Formats: sequence, C-alpha cells, structure tokens
Amino acid sequence: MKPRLDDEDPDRLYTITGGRSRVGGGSLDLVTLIVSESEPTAGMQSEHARILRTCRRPTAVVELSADLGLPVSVVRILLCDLLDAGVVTARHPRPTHSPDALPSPELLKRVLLGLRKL
Amino acid sequence: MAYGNSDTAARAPLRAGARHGLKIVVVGGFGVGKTTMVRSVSEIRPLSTEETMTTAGVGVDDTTAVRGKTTTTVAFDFGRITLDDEFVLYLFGAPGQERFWFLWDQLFAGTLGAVVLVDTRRLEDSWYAIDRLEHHGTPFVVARNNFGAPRHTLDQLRDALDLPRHVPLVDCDARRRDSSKAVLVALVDHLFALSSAREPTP
Amino acid sequence: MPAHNPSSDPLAGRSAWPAVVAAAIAPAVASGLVWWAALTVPPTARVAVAVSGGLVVAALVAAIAVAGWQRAAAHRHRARADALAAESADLADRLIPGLVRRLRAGSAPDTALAEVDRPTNPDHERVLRTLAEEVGRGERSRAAAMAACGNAAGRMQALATSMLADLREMEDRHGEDVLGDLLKLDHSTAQAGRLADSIAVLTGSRSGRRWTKPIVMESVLRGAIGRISAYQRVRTHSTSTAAIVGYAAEGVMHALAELIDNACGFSPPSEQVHVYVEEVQAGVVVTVEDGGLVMSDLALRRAELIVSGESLDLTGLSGTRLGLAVVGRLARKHGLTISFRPSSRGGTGVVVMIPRTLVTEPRAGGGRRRSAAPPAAPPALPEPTPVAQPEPEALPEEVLLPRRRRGDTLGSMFPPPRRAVEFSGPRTDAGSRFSAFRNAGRPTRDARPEGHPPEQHGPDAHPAEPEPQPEPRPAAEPGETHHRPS
Repeated sequence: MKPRLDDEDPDRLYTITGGRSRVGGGSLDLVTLIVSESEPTAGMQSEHARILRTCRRPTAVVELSADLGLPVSVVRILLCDLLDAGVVTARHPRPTHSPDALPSPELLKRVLLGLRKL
Repeated sequence: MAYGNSDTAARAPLRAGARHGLKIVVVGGFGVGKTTMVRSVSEIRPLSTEETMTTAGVGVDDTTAVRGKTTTTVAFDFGRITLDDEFVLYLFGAPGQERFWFLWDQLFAGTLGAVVLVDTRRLEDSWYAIDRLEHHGTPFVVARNNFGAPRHTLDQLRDALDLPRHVPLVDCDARRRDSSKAVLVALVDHLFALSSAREPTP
Repeated sequence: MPAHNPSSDPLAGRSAWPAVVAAAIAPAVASGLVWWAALTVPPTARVAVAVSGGLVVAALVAAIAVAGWQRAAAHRHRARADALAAESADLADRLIPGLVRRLRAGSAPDTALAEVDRPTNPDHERVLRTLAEEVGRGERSRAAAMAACGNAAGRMQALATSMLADLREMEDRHGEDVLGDLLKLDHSTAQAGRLADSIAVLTGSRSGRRWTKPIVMESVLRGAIGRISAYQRVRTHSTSTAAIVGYAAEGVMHALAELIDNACGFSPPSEQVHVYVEEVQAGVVVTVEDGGLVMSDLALRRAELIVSGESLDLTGLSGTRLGLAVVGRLARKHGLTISFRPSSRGGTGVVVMIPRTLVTEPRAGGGRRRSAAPPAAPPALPEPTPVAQPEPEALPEEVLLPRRRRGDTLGSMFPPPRRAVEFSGPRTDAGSRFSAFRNAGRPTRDARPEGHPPEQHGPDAHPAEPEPQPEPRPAAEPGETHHRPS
C-alpha cells in the first residue's frame, strides 16, 4: 500500500463522523436513491452540504460514496444525520427480496425493455 | 485524474422521478474486462469507490500487466443505466478473488443477478466467484470475454467450468456496447425464465 | 588593546617626582649646612665637623634614596595590582560572555577562542581555554542529543504518516464491522504522530508532512482536532471558506491542536470546547474557548510569553507539558499571533491570528480527496482490435482448459458446499473423473490436465489460500483427497 500523499486531506474519518463508525436502524443499500428536501445552510459540515447539493436529483448511496471519496459506511452515517434532520429522503430499492427469492416477471420485463432500448 | 471538481456536472443526473435502484454484479478476475464491460454499457463514466488500479493498455483493464500487478486497493467500480423514468440499473464490477469476499455481502444483497466474466487463459480466476454464486443461490450467467479468436467451443468451456445446462454461457466482447448489452439481456432473460417458472408455485 | 603596562602609567611617573625632588634637595641643604658649620666652628673642630657632617649627609642621601626607591616600588605594585584587577574584570565581563556566546552559537572552541581578544595574562588564557573546551563539549553533546531526538522524531513522523495512509485505505476496504476498530487505531496513530511532530518542532528539525495544496479551514480544524484525545468534546463554528497555504497548513494545524488540547485539559471533561473561525482584514482569527478555570493574570502573561516564541529556552520544559513551547516555536515560524484572555464561557479564551499571507483560496474546484474516477478514460471506446497477447509458448491446436471442481474454492469456509462437492461428484462427467484419476495423489487441487502450461496459474490466482496439502481423510470418502484444500 503506497501512501498517496498528494491526494490526501488532513481530515480523519472519525472527525467526519464525530467518532461514529456505524449507525443503528435500517441500513441503506448501495443503490438506495437519496433526494434532498432542502438546501444546505451556512456553517453546515461540508459533506452534508455537498450531499444536499448533489441530491437535488436522486443519487444512489454508492454514487455519493464515489463523489465524496468516503467509504460507504461513512456515507451511511452522514446520510442518517440528514435523514434524522429530515432534509433528505431515501427511496429504497423495492425488491428487497431475500437472497433466494427472485424478482417478479413484471419487474424483469421492465428491465428487459429498458436494456433493449440501450 | 481528479474527479469531482464539479461533482454533479461530471455525470448526467438521474431523472427526478427515479425511484428504484437495481443491481447487477459483473464479477471476474483481474484483467478479465469487468471495468470494460461496465464502461461499455454505462451512461456515466464508471466510478470507483476506491482508487482505480493502474490501467495498462487502453480500454481493456490491464490484460498485459496482470502478473506484475501489486496494487490491490481497488474495491469495486460501477456504472449506471437508466431503464425508464423510475428504474435505474447499477452495474458493479467486482473482483472475483477470495480476498475480496468482504465486498460481497453488500454488493450481492438484493442484486438481480450476476455476470461471471471469464478469460479462458485464466479460467481458474472465475472458480471462486462461481462457487460463491452457486453457494448463495444467486442467479448468474457466464460470459466469455474473447481476447482474439476463441480456442475452445462453448461446450468445452461449459464442461471445464462444470456448469449446469440451465446456466447460460455466452460469448462477448466486453469492449462493444451491443455485445455487453446482449450479456445483460441474457442474464435478465435467464432471471425471467427462472422467475416465470417459479411464479405459479409461490 | 588598552594600556596596562605599568612603565607607561603616567600616574606612576608623576608620583615619583616629589621623591626625586626631595632626594635632590635634602642632600644639597644638608651639605650646605655642613659646609656652613665647618666654617663657623673653631679650626680644631673643623675636620671633625666636616667629616661627621659628610657622613650625616651621606647617610641622609642614602636614606632618601632608599625611601624614594621604595615609594616608587610601591607605586609600581599598586599599578600592577590595578591592572590585574582590570584584566580580571574584563575577563569576567567581556571575554568569557563573548566566548560562551560564540560556543552556544555553535562555534568550535578553537574558533571561538580565536575570535575573542587574547588575555595578556597567561593564567587568564588558560582559564579561557579550559572554559571553551568544557562549554564546547557540553554544547556538542546537547546538539548531538537534539539531533538524535530530531532524527528519531522524523522517523516516527514518517511512520505515523504512512500508517495513517494505510489505515485510510483499510477504512475504505472494510465494512462497518471493522471500521470502528480502524478508526480507533487511526485516532491513536494521529496522536502519536502529533507527539512526534512536537518533538521535531522542539528539536528544531523539520516539521511533519507538507501539504501540496491549500487546506480549507474546515479541514484545518478537523486536522487539528483529530490529533487530540478528547476530540469529541470539541465543537467547531465556522462558515469560512478560506484555506491555509499548503506549506503552513501543517504548522497551523499542529499549533491549533496543542491549544485545543490545552483547552480540553484545563476544563472539566463534561464541558465542551468551542472553536470559532472568523475572517478579518488581517487574516483569519481562530478562537478557542473553554469553560474551565479562569487563568490568573500572571498565568495568562506567562502563557503569552511562552507562546510568543521570544524565548527558545527549553530549560523549563517538562515531558508532559510541551504544548505551549511547541506553539511558541510554530508561532514564530509562521508569524502567528496568539493571545490569551478570559473567556465569555467562563474559562480561558485563546485567540490565534493567522496572518493574511498564509490565507488563500481553496484550490479551484475544491476537489476533495482522492480521485474517484479512472484516469481520464478516452471518451470513445477504443476500436475493438484483437489484443496482441504473446503466448508464453507455442501451444497445441487446442489447449486443455483447467477444470473447476464445484465448491472447491470455498474450502473450509463454507462447510455445506463441501458436501455439495461430494454430492456433485457423481454428476461430473467422464472427462473430469478421468482428470481426477490422473491427478490422484498429486499434491495439487487444481486437477489440471497434463500439458497445460503451469504459467497460467498466475501468482494472483489464489493468493489468500495456503499451499494445498494432501490431507488424510476418512476412508469413507475415497477418491476425494487429491483436490481437498487444507
């Protein structure tokens, strides 16, 4: 592992999460879509502000992780803050089926249709 | 190299009505063309949740540098396909090696299915992925990414992989959008068949 | 060189004059009297008078001469004593301080001796030489100790930096289960790094890492807070979008870390410490307010003196309280102004003024953190051309593919698939059974057909797996040992 000094910032992850490493409650899937419900305010933590700006249009958790350059688990913590504050909403993936269950044929038809249009 | 100088402008935002995120995982060994496949069908430049590996060669991820590779920091990269006003499909390119098992749980939870991308010159790289998928009962198709003319028939490949008949095995050129698209369609067709077969007996 | 030669002392000459005059006049007067007495006495006594008178005069002359000589000698001795006293004073007041100053500044004893005036007194010269050697030796050992500490601190800094980078990478790669532990290590490493930084600063060696880009105030504050133990007690209040230039950012962060740590240390654990950032004409003002004890005026002045960086003396240093001395050094280096005052929160407030010369705009785009995209991929996909891949050797027309054995790679991690392997055994076709037969007894689990180039098993293929070991299995499962991973 080579340190990539040029790319680094002095912020350690625990200073971004305030020392939290996990969040209680239902976890957000990688493809849960996040939508902002309000605009950032002055003095807001920059990551929160940036999420609010990015999520003016729906954005998946994994996309936020890539945008912010932060691990998905840290992004989940930040998103929980925003969800608790009521400034974002989450659109969870609908087919929360168990590993064994299969998506419905109706859903798959839509997927096929979409793919064929590519 | 810096991404994110304009975080939202770098890729087209989703439609405002986008509501349902779906997942398909493309899995395979290093250099087999996962990123290439994701890129060829994605509407956004593939993003990485971690540092991207050094790319040797253009378009095909590091086929020439496979053996000398020491960087293993890549987690997974992903692309996106807007299916319609409400449905968005995310494609994840995930390293298939055992040492990346920690990624699998969050990648495979709720996934529609998986594409196992294989390179016949390094067929063993796909074994772990296939074993895991079989173990978890995740539906998948196998796609042979052809680097040059294939040397084996698909039947020989199926035989070598010990793939059951019902698992689709297709050829592809991961660099071509239509070819990668056909692989995804094959997977969804496969899922559709499985789902339809199961539907009457819930 | 001032005159210390007694012979040239004008006073000594002047004081000798009356004696000379007296010595000249007295015999003259005496011989006159003798002459007059010899003439006035009867002729019979004239010879006796003249003789005795002559003797008296001679005695007088001798006495006067002796007295005069003694007086001159006394004068000479006093002058010599005065000169010696002056020489000693000069040695103490001028030569020795000058010599020590040169030695403290790093001059070698011989160089320092050559640079100060040479005492005429050889004893003084010896004193000076002995002193020069002793102080020089002390200085050398102090410098060696400082250099050793600085060097060790530098290595500790480098270690901490690379550990922090490694930890950051692990934090990316691992999920929530491990993240908490990694963050704890990260925090400890950051504190260890700060201690190394402090030692480096105090020993005058190079400060920690250099940032190659401006660091925004939010990150400067978090960089500072992340290095102290009680970081969760600190609340920041900043709307500033300013950044600190890269070369000064580390120093500013370090100084703030020490001051914030101080504030946490001097206030009850239940109290929060608040950090405010304000952009002013002259630069950026950072205020650290705690709700602890109010420092006395004397203590405030003392603290201010230490952080002013005026005194670089380390003699008052104790191992546990390096903070303010470090802040002083950093303040001096970067031109920070630091003042203490009672806080409106009841405790102490520290005001840090970061001069405008260190304040800049964040780098355009404010691209935070690492690149998240592959290096500038060509916008259009490359023309699908066959990749020229030189094969390791001439291969037969049809290369035999290595055979997968279902569930094999899962090994002991997933016991159920092991059974699946056994169940799937009968389903495998003749070919695979054949190859299994051919490979039976081999210590490889790959069941690789003969003739398959072994190079195809790259080192990356199964890196996490131990070397396959032939493992004795119960006789109930014959024929399976050859591909069972250990």
